[in-house]
Amino acid sequence: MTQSQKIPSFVPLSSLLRTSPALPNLPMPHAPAFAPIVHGEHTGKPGVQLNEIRQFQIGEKHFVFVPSVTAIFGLDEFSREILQLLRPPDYQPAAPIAPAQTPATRHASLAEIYRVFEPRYSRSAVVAAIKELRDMGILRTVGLRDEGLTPPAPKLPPMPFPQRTLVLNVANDCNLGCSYCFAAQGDYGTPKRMMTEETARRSVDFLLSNSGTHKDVTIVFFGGEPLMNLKLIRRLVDYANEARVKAGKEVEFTMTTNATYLTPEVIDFLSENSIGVSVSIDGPKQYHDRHRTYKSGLGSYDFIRPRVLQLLSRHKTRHIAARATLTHGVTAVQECFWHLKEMGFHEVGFAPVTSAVQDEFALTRDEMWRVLDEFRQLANVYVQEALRNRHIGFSNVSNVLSELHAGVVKAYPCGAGLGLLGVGVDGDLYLCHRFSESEEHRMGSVERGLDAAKQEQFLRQAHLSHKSGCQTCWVRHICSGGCHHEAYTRHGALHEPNAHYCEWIRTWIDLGLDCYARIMDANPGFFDKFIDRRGA
Amino acid sequence: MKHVKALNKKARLLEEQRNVIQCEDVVALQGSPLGCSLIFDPGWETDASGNVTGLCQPVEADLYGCYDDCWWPAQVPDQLMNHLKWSDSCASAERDWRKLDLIYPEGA
Repeated sequence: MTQSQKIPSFVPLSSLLRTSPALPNLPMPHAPAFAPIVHGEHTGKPGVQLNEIRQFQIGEKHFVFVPSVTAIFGLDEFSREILQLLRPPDYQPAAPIAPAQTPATRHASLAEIYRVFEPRYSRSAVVAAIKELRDMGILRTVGLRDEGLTPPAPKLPPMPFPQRTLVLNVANDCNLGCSYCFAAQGDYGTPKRMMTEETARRSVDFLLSNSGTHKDVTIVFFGGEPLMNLKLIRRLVDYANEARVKAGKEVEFTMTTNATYLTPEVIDFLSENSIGVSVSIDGPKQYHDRHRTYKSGLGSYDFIRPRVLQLLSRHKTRHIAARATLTHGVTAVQECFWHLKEMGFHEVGFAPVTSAVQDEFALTRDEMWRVLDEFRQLANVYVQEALRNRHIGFSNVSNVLSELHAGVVKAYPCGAGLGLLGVGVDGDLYLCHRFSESEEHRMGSVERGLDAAKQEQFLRQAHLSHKSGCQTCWVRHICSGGCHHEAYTRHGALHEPNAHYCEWIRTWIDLGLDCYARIMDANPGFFDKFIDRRGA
Repeated sequence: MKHVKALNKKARLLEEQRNVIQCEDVVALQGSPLGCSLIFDPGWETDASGNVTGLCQPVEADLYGCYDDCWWPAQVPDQLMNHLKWSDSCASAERDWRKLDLIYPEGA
């Protein structure tokens, strides 16, 4: 058997050109990041097939999402009809739970397409439409091997990758004892201690000197409870403000806090220094006090409520966000959302706990779907308000819209180990704050620098192209397999895809596409006004 | 564009690129029937005794090539009905061909 024997008898382009002189051999303007899936017949006749696309409809309008390049298009009636022609007869449009693979295609020869449209459209109009759809990656001409069919080898990002965000564990201790805390009540299972000023300064120096061409960098005060080390934070802000001037850069500060240490003086300090604040609060008292308790078991809601209200009225320089954790037994997203909005939060985001099957805190499968249903109802309100140019501040929807709007093809789910690193209380660098104090995930230190070999090893292993099952999924470039930390705790390896919530994520992205197209169709200015400004 | 409307930023970028390359390019060999020759598809030869052991490429890659992107008749598992997960652990043929499962006849 020789190589030449195996070559199938594909029709050369020249013969296709004879049947359609108006179809020049335009190269694809972009190389799809991964191979389109061939579901259709393989007749070898010159013609047209659909690429991997997710088509959806809002009212009478039709849209298409192209997973390989994360692009979204609106279709006119003619192009919709062409797409319809390429569907198999049993094609069912969108299912309530989004399937992994995009629906199948069938092969239509050019002759057949001409025939269908003959009375209404000229051949040159048909060819022009096909070219347009082909150039946007929506369909492909078949009978020619002019498209890449194998995934490219994992391509690492340019190294050294510039750092943009450091999450500092300034206090390896917490005054609360929240039962679901991934940091084991604030100390990550290691002795309680505070970050020293020297370590904090080194962190700032490390960030500024490793930020490459970035003009803006971010420092996140994290813990434990960061306000337990307020003295350090005050000094560090002064230090960073001096250092940034020397470096010619801007430094932004944010903080995640349980709100127990907020006093008027602390709030004024946060406001004066434009420190963004994200408060961990789970909703009304009956939900919040289930898990967010003092170590004695006493709920913290009554204690933090007046402090949060004071924060919301006194802190004038930044938006204040609430981060609510959804646990087993709590799926009342809308109730929690409106409670927190009524308190005055500008943004509210939800993090469902899904990390372990046996975990007493993790939402069950049914509960996850109930959460999605609540998300869907709230997303509807979001869209209605967006059409009136108002922003209700539901972070989960804002985040997915922001991703879809940019259309970035991602090989990693987040910036962990890339532009974002966690700094442990002793100055060690970790993939992200969730991996603090995990020896296995240590990547150097702010003193000695980033361990480039270990970073590269991580980036190679965690690359999307290594995740089995992701290759044919149409949300792969948005989800990229999901949180590394969750994969590590749930599956024992951070480069395993989080297969336990695939269906959920796909349905969620599907909902995001629906919201995106509805807003884009009726009020595209919303994105310039609210989404572009949010940044990454 | 006349028929599709670019909505998100990536779509607009693709549209811009398309406008840039509207002139016809001269592309050598663009339309040649390239078949399997340009994709990773190692090993189609056997050694003098009809085996592959002495060669640099494994029989698994050969099989994979047959099922995936070429239609040379070969004994590949029926992935449509009976062995749906045959290639699930093979995310990339170039790297993961060792993970392709072997299928044995039932009762063998």
